[in-house]
Amino acid sequence: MRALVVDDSRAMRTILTRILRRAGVDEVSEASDGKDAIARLDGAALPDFMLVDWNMPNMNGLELVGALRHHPQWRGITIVMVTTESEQSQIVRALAAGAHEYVIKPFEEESLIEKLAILGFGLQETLADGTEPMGQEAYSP
Amino acid sequence: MAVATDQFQFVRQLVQTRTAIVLGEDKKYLVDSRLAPLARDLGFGDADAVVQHLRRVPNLALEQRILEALTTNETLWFRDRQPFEALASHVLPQLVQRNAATRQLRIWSAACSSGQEIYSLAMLLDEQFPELRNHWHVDLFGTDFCTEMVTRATEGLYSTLEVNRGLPASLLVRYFDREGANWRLKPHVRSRARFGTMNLAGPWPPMSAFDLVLMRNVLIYFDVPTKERLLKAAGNQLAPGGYVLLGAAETAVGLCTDLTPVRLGDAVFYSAKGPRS
Amino acid sequence: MTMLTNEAVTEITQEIWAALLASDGSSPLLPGDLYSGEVIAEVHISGEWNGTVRLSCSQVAARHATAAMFSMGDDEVTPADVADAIGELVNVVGGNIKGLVEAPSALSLPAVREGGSPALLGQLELAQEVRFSWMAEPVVVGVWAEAT
Repeated sequence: MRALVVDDSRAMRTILTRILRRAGVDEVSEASDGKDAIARLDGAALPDFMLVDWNMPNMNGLELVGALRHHPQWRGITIVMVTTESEQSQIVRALAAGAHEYVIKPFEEESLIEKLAILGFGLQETLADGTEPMGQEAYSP
Repeated sequence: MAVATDQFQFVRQLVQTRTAIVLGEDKKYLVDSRLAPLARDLGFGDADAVVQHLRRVPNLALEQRILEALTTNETLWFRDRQPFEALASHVLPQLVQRNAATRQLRIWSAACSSGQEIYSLAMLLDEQFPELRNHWHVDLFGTDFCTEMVTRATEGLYSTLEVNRGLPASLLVRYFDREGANWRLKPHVRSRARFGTMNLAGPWPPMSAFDLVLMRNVLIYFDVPTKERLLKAAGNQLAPGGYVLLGAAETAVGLCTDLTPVRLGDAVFYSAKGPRS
Repeated sequence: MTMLTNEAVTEITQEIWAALLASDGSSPLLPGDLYSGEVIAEVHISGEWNGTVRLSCSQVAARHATAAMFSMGDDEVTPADVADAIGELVNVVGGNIKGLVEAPSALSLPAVREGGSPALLGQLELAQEVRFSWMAEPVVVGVWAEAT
């Protein structure tokens, strides 16, 4: 599985990359703003999903989401916004622009993994052994 | 200080015996991070110390606190997801059809904590069963042992960290209003539910029959005879055609012959067998 | 009625500390008395509401926080790491405090300074200050706002 983390804060990129790697994402790349993200996508293998901050120089997260959704090759990438911006109207705008999910900072590691799971990316969740999420597999009557 | 290997293995064994959850060898960091705050709250030096204490002085209360710290799944909204999907696609349509004449639906969340489970149901019903908004009496009843939790549930106010846990953003904007750094469930959803304090292990007050009883991740705190008693009581509390739902890693099989497991969607529900006394 | 209360600032900071620095189950932010300006990080809020959020702490606290955030040892932490970590902390604290005041407003990039005296905040006055003790070190969050 492949992911692209887009945030102008090196600290947040480090945190997110660590969380994703720990959850079993094989390849995690980083970009420092929208423009950098586009440059990295150009000609590269498509990420399965992207974590995108809102407030970034050069091209902010909302603009990036719009750009991705209008691009023939990139419009299918799952986008999760990860940001402190928490006005209801902003969340609505982000979802309308094409973001699939929205995580408000601060968030816990498990919350991010769960949001990705809701989107269909079954990553290693909480305390379950192996890669199966804790579920009915434990008992089959 | 992190737990030593001995303590980690002890914890793995305890968790597996009591909850059937298998803790991988690589999950030591989670054990450390979950037990450190508990150790602090209880006045132990660190995670290792609290486990060592339990090993030296076995006591059920501490065991329960440790289990709770380890097994509290952070995804509190729509916990485990599959049961809610099964409720939406299979169970609720069935119940709604069955109750078409009476136009009543009664659901009980036993061990409702701060309300996420019952409110998840309220949102699910509002979104996917809008016909129930009119002319139906929908009773969403939540009880918890802890009065503080019941008060919290009634308030319907949640922090940023809490609304991040398992709640799709589309539902957040539709059903919550932001209040400073917190989020409050909109009045029309809050008013769908009622809450009360109740000790499951004590005598149950008289209650109406329920179409759905959720008793999720609370049985793990009780010994086997109590589990059996509670499961039987839950079965007795069901209306005809009703179901009991347990936690994702729990089972009533082997504990209660009155309940029959039924696989609906990707989840297992329990129906009450035959006439009940 | 303002949402910018001492309680709100306290809750916000504690949640952020727990979420961002939880990697090793580190200690919570407890109420404290002391102030340290050894490391000062700021973000400015401008728009419908104008003000500054400042996070001040001791060098030791800054190093601990950085180490916790990046899951590294205290001794591996570089000044650049501290700037990034503390900058992100004040960014998230500021972002959440922005949610308490009039919208729409924008958040500046964080600025982090070690040592020296903090920039004067001119027309602003201290609206809220919460002092914490973290791992026995001072951590303080101050919110400066336009005089009313």
